[in-house]
Amino acid sequence: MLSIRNLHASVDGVEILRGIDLDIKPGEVHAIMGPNGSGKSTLSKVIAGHPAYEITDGEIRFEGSPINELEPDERARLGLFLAFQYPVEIPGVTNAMMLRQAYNGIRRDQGLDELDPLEFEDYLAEKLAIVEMDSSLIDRNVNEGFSGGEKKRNEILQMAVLNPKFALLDETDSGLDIDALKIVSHGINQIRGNDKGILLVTHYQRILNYITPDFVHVLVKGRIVKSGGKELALQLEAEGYDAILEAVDA
Amino acid sequence: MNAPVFHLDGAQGPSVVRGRREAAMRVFAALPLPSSKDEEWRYTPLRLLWDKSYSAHRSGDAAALLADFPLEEAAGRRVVFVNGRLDADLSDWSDLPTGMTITSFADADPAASTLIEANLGRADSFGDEYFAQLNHAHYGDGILIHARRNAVSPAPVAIYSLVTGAGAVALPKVLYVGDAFSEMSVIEVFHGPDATDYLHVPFTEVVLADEARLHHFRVQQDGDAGVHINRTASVLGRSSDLQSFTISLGARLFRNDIRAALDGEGGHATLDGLVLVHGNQLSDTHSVLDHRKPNCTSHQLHKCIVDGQGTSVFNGKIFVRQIAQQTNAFQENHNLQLSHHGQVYTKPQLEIFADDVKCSHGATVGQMDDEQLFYLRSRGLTELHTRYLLTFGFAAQIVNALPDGTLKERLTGEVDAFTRKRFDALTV
Repeated sequence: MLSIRNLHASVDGVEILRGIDLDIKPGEVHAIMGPNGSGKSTLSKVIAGHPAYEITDGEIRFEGSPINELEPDERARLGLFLAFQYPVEIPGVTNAMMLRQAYNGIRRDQGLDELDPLEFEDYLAEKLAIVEMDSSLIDRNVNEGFSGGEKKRNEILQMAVLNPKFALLDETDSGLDIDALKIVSHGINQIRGNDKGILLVTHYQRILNYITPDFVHVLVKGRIVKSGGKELALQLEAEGYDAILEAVDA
Repeated sequence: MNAPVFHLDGAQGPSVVRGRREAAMRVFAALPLPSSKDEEWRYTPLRLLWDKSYSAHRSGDAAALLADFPLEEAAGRRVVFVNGRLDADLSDWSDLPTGMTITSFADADPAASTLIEANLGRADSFGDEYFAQLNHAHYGDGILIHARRNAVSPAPVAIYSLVTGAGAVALPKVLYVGDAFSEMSVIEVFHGPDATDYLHVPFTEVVLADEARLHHFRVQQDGDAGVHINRTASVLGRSSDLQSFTISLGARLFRNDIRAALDGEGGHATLDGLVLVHGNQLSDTHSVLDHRKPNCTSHQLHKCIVDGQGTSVFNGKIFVRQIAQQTNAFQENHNLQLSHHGQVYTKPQLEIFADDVKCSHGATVGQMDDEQLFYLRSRGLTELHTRYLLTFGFAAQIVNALPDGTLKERLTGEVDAFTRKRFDALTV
């Protein structure tokens, strides 16, 4: 469903991604691991369409169609979702307002009736339960004054509400204590399904104890240098990135 | 240029302050209209008043204006000025909380007279300032709103100042006196018809005793050809608390001078503001926060959205006197520009003479944040929709701080309507 060929991307004229190839089929969970500065976050932002990143070569296809030239909202309407590593605060706009307007936009696209605030509240209540989130956070401004864990949970809540076909999770595990990690992982597993694809970007193997990936890829200096099954993550955890970095340099 | 000519009633009414009125008349008669050569009036186009003639207007449909701005939370607690004069028919303060009184200066009994004498001018009379003296000399009616010691009421009182016709000048005066441990909430509404050239010059004074609190919400929604020049002065006693919010929506020209003096230890003043300007509107806020005593705090968040060829001016002075150690003063002015034709002038002005203080200030002028735009767009919201939401949110940050009620609902609606006008291609 997501197919990436020879993807090169730069920010401010500096090339970060140097030829990525990746194929993710419906129902698959892929993990991208790599040391700091390897280009992990760049990859998720480029797929989501961040305007600061320029694709200089290669192609991203989603469900068969190229999306290189699409705006971020057009990609989202196709069913792509990015859970941010650092969720952004939006003063003055409540979570409920933002989510209802975003969700109704998707319903309009699908030719469905929009939900009024009360109907949406019911729909939201189901999704809140998935991430064990307090309903008071719904009427707070988006991410404003949220703790690190609350922000990450809020990302998963948004994903549950918007119900995308494909989710990019950018270091959703970083900064979480073990209880929050379990809740967030549970939320992701709830959404995981036969038809959905997930690309999980992470620095550590820890979250993969809760979300079992089908494939693990190691990203180094903007290229995937090694791919394997879930055992690759355990190997990385045990040996660190140094062994792979040495192999790459050699 | 010629200064405007005023045809006013003269020293009618309240004997309690007649001496002061007559003194102010002598001062005012000798004062020239300020010009843009005066630093304090640099960006304020007072040429709009040149060669004009204004009078104390008597006719017009004030009831319709009042009906246009209902405040359910203030039922039975309503004071209505029409063209600067108290309107007995439209006013209704039959349901005042215990310990609170409203008195027209003209009807003041000996006790009220004593209070007026003792408190009027105590905060700041603005010296020999043209518009202040215009009000001091020629105000139509003055009212005293008084809360006795320990009288606490969260239910707000509404003070309307309505202007009804072309060529009218409205000069209302309001004096709030909060005795020790009292708490009052007031909503002031300034309103008038569009496409009508008039002048609105209110003067409001606040005197808070020790531990007293005032929640002071003011909404300026004057007509689009009106000129509104407001003066507000407050003096705060020990551990007292002023929570002041000014929302500027209307008028061709709005000049808001707001001063608060922290005159007892441990006091706090919030002077927050929201300004929405479009078309050829100009909204100019000049504030003074005067920290005179130690351990006081102040908070000033002033936000402006400038569309069309609108202009926003902010001049925020903070004085920290030498004795005022342990002051904590926060000031921020943020301006969001929606068009390339608007203008923003912002000038924080801090004068600090104490050495153990915390004063922060910041000013921003700009467009929207790229990361916020990307975040919302990644949720499937179009760029237009995202810009609408961010603009709405920018303003809602001030409005959301208001207590729930019809005022908050109305202002949320006003912000939404202002924002939608800009993003008119949008259907949400």
